[in-house]
Amino acid sequence: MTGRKGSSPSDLSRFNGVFFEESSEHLETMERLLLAVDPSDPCQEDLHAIFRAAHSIKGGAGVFGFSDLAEVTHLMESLLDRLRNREIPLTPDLIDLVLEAGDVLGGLLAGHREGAPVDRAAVDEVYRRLEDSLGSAKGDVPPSVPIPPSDLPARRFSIDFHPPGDTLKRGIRIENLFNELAELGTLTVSADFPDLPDFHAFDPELCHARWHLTLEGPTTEEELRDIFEFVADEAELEIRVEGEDAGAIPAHPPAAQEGEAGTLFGRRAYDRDETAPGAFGRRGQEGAEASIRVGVAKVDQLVNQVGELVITQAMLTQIGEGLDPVQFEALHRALLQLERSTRELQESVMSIRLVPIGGVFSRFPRLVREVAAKLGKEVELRTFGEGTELDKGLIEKIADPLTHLVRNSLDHGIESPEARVAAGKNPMGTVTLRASQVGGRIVIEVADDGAGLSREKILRKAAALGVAAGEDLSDEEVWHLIFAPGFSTAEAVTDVSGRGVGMDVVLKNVQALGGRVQLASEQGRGARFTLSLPLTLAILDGLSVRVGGEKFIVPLNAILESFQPAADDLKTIRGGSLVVHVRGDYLPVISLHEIFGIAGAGERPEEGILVLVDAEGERAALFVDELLGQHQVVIKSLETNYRKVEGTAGATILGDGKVAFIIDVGAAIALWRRGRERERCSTAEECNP
Amino acid sequence: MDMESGRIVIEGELSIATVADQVSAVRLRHFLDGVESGSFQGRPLVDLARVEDIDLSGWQLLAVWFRHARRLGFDPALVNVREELRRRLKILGLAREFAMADVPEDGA
Repeated sequence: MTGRKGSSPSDLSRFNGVFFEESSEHLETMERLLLAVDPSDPCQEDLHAIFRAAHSIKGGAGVFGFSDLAEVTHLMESLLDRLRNREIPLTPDLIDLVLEAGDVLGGLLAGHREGAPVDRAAVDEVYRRLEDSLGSAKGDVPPSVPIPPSDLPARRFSIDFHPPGDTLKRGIRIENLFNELAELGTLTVSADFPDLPDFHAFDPELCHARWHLTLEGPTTEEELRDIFEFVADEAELEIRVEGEDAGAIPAHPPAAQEGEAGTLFGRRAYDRDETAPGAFGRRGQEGAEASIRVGVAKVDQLVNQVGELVITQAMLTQIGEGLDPVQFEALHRALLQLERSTRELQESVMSIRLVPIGGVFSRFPRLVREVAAKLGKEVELRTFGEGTELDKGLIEKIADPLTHLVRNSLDHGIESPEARVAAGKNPMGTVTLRASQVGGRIVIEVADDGAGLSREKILRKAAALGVAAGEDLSDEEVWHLIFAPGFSTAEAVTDVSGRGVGMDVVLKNVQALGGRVQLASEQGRGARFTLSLPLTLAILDGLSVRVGGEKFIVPLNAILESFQPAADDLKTIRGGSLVVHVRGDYLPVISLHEIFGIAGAGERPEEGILVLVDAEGERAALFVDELLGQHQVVIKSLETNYRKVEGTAGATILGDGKVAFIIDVGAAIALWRRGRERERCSTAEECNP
Repeated sequence: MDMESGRIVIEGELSIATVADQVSAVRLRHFLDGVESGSFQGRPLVDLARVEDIDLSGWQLLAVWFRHARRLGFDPALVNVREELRRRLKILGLAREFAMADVPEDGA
């Protein structure tokens, strides 16, 4: 098999992007439907949809000249056609084969898109197995499916096709397009060059031709337009039906003359009855929201520019605040309007980057199916909140940690069917993925109803690894030991997990995204990992506070309340820590000036303000000197522009042009805790270094 | 290019990927330059025997060249057009743009 015929100009990739993206979506659709299909009673609509996804990839591959993709999808499509027509029974083996073929197509797509190495052996193997399944001789392209009788009347279509000038640069092979048309009936083609320049001024990379075509055959206008899907928009294609009554035209298109129209890229007769929305990969227009594809880099540029605008607006607001409100009433009104408009603009721009997490969740049915089969376990995957949206950048980076966690649940959490039955459980275990938005954060849970974590095993392993862990640790502290590098309680190393790499990487990756991981477990009932992520990496609603001469931003979504404590509510407990009594609870008081080493700040909480915060269930009171106001701030990476500062989630530029740290509440609490631990250890002998 | 026989041999691939700087395009241009200087009076023949692939971009180049040559009073023709290329011309609706002549391949 061969790849794309001829080399292509580098800018082709820009135009091929749409094809690559849509093909990836079609592959995802195929996989999702294949994993859900019941081989004993497959849903006919699903089989049609799977077929259409393969068909769309093949059509696009042919138009864009990716012959290797077209060859594999051609076989796949033939197989799927027979399956949907019940000519051959759907079996788990065939589902696996089509899934594997989908993997191969994904590899070929990546090869064309990114130059990723392609596993040619896998391509050939899948090709051979598809051929075997179709009962064809090796190396032969399977024959087209016989044309079934059609109820559609044969009609004569008149087609005017005026392709845009960049058609050739987009890698489109017009002849493949017309070959597809030729398979629908009798086709006549006439080209014209209305504005052909002189030879010396001629640009051969531009398409100068226009076509008038006539097609006689039992087909539909929609089907014809589908063929031009990747090539022309409405203005460039005009299709007219010349007569509805065409009794003299044969009901079936005549066979193409030998070699006249190759079958490889052709649309076969079995497509003619497809009328479902989205058939052949065409994007529905009626009732569907129109959309355009825009490069992520362009969106990021827009986000950055709006971020700068927000900073400028904040500066103007601050300047305005210094002006007399009576004398400058009109200016104040305009500044208020500017603030509102800027905020709306920023929210609109940020929403462009938000995508549903369902795209990540969709990869897990297959993972669970395959890993469970490998481990001899029965596992059902349940997903909730697929529509929860988060930043595209986060989506891409959260996929790997989630994969680790799901694998971990399958390998270590869910028991064997026998063990589950012996424990009085359903032999089929459940892994649950749940996403939701809580305040300004996205919370993703990976839960299983397996055996739960074993406190004894973890402590034993910790001791073996030399990790400080006493019997007096709380359950939560013990669970967190599994995030230590190299930690695994697996009895044996498997190819699923158990090598001790993974959980520490999960934690590190999630933390790098400004997220946190919590772990809950109950012996015999299961375990639950909770990932908490910021909604976006770019903006934040925050409360600005003063500590000494410095300003900080506390994320609004972490704040429960703020108050000036009475002296009676403050207590110093054993070890020197200060706590505040709030409605029956004693919460630690964390002095920001202490953990960030700021001089000149107030020392007495009763003279300042306590900001009560909650970091995924852990509450504390941040001691600051003054509350300044609420702002929407643009997050700037400290690591990029300066260096990582512990306890912060970045920095922002305030209206006065000064830089303020953004507090990462969870990290600040952890930083404070480590400081207390060091103090305790400096006076106690039992602490490990 | 052979100015005596008027035969221009196109080689390799004449496609969007190569057409801008393909040597064949240069040959076609040089031939026209020669024609315009009056050094050729016969029938220009474009020989496709050694062509591997021609896409629409290549056919367009030939079409514009043919039109130009006709404007100069010549009657250009394609020679040694194998069946596959003829089919492609037909499916693209371009056959009428080109006259064809039967000239045996001579290894020009």
